[in-house]
Amino acid sequence: MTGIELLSTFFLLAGAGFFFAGTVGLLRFPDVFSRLHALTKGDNVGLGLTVLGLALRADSPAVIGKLLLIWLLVLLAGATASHLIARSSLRRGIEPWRAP
Amino acid sequence: MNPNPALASQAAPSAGWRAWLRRLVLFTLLWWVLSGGDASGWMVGAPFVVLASWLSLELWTSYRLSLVGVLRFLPWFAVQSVAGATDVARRAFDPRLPLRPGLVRHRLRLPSGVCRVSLANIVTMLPGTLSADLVDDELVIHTLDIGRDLHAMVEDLEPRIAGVFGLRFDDLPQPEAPR
Repeated sequence: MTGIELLSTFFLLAGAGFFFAGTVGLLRFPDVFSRLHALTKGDNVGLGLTVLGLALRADSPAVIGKLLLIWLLVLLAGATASHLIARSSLRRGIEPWRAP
Repeated sequence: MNPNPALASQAAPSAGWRAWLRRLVLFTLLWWVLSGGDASGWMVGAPFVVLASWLSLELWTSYRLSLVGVLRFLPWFAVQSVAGATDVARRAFDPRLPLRPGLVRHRLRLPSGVCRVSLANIVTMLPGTLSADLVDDELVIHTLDIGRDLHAMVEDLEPRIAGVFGLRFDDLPQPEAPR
């Protein structure tokens, strides 16, 4: 395994780790708002590292561009969806969980 | 129509050749990425690059991205993203589940539209904060740690976003007195 492949594998595994952490947060956190924290931040960095790992193995610069574009669109969709879920929860009168 | 001198120069009534050039380069690059660098696609791609440039100038002329601002912003955002994800991962894996959530309201100085929406989206990726509502100039932030000074955090973020859109933050009007 070359150095580039090793680095790529490291990024892919680290990305998977952040996706896993986001899912653990989704299951463990107490309310809708804190769960959104775990998902949006975990997905942002999880996918970012996955894209980075794949970019190191890409055959052409156009493929790297496409991977970055995917990351950007997922980031935009994730942040927007999270904002809309949080907003509609607040406007429905759902109180954020508070530490006892 | 627009009393703010920092913004007046941004709202061009008709697109100049520089704006055209920027959009053409952008959409050419986009087509190149989407077609995977295949040269035979340009017969189809070229007309649509022109069409997309024209359409985007019709729909969006109010602000333009500043390349310098974007390049300054990206490394900072990358570091903050990793810090945010690491922070939330640490809380998720900790058996005691260390969360002290709460809501904070902050009045923004950035102009409405794409600047404020970008700020709201970026706040969500920063450590411990989530944009939960945006009503006029007031951003509602949900935080995982109510002990932190979030007003200082947003005030640090606003000039960075202004820079991405080529605005000078010091020229923007002061916010109204807090309610």
